Amino acid sequence: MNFFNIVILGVGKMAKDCAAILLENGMRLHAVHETEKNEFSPLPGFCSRVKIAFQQPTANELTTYLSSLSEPTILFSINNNYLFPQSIVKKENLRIINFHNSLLPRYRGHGRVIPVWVIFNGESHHGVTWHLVDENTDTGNILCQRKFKVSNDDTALNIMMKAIGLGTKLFSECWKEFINPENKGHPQKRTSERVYGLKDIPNDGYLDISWDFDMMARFLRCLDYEPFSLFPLPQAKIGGKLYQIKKYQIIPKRSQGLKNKIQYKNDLNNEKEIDFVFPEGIIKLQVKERPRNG
Amino acid sequence: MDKLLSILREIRPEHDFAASEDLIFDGLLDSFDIVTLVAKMEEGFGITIRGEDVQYNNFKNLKNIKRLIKRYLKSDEI
Repeated sequence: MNFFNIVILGVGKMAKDCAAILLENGMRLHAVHETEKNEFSPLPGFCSRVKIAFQQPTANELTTYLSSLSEPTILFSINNNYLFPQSIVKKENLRIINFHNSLLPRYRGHGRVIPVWVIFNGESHHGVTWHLVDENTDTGNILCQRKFKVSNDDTALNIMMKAIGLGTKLFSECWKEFINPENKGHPQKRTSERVYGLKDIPNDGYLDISWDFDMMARFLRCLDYEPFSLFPLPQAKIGGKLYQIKKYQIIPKRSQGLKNKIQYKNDLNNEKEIDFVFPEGIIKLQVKERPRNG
Repeated sequence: MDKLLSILREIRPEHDFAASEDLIFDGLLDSFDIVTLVAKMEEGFGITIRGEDVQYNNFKNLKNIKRLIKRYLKSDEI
C-alpha cells in the first residue's frame, strides 16, 4: 500500500509495462492517462483488465486534472508528449518523473525524432534517462541513465525499441529509488545543445545524391520506422526529377573495384529502381516520381 | 490459416489467438509484436506490406489479418 497516489501519463507498450511492474510489486495505481493516440497501444485493454481508471484526455483536460490534485502524487511520464505547464511543475505535492530516450543532456526534445538524429549523426552509442521534471524541456535532475551500442545497420525503429527495452529494464531495477522523495537526483550539465522538435528532419527529408555511401546509408536508416509510417517517406531529386523513396537496400562492398556511378532500371508506371554504386558498396532505391508541385 | 496461426504462435506461444476478437485490446499483441509479425508475414507469404496497411483494424483479429494477407496474395490460399 502506498501513501501517495501514483498516476501514469504516456502511451504505448512502455507505459503499460511500467504500470505492470508497479502492480506486480504491490503498488496501487490511481490512474493512467494516455496522452497521445496510438492504435497499437496496449494501455486501454491493460487498464480494463486490471481495473485501473483510464482516460485519454486533451492537453487542457489533463492540465485541469493535474491542477486539481491536492494529495501527494507521483506522476510517471513515460513516452508522454504532454508538456507540463510551469503551474503544474511548481506544485509541491507532485513529484514528476520522466523517461527520455537519450543520454541527457544530449538529444533533448521529442522522443520520436531522437533516434532519427542519433543515426544521422553517426553516433556509436546512445542511451536512456529517467529524470525529474523541471520547468524546461528535459533539463531536470537525473535519477538514472544507461547507454547502449548503436550498430551500423540500426534503423530508427531499432533504436526506439532498444531504448524502450532498456528504459523498462531500468524502471524495474530502480522504481523504488524513483519514488523516494529524498532522492533529488543530480543536476544535468548545462549545454547549449539544440532541442529537437518533431518537424526537425535531417536535410528536410531529402536524400542528397552527392553524399557518400556512409552518409546516404545513415540518412535512409534514420527515417526508417518500418513497418510503421511515423514520418513521410524520404525524397530525392535525381536528374532534375523529384522522387519519393519507397524502399531501399544497403549492400556493403563484397568485391573490389566498384566505382561511383548511378544505374537506372525498370522504369515502369513512374516507378524506378536506382542503384548508387560506391567503392564501399551499393545503395538500391525503389522510387516513384512525384510531380514538381506534389 | 494454419500458416498464420503458426507464425503468431511462434511470436507469442502462450496465447490462444483464435479465441480473441481484439488481439490488441486483449493484450495478445503489442507494437513490438506487430513489428515481428509483419516481418514474418512478409517472409512467410512472400509479400511486402505497405506502411499505410499497418493499422489497428488490419491486425485486430485473425479474420482481419487473414483478409489483409489475401489482399496481397490475391488468393485464398493462405
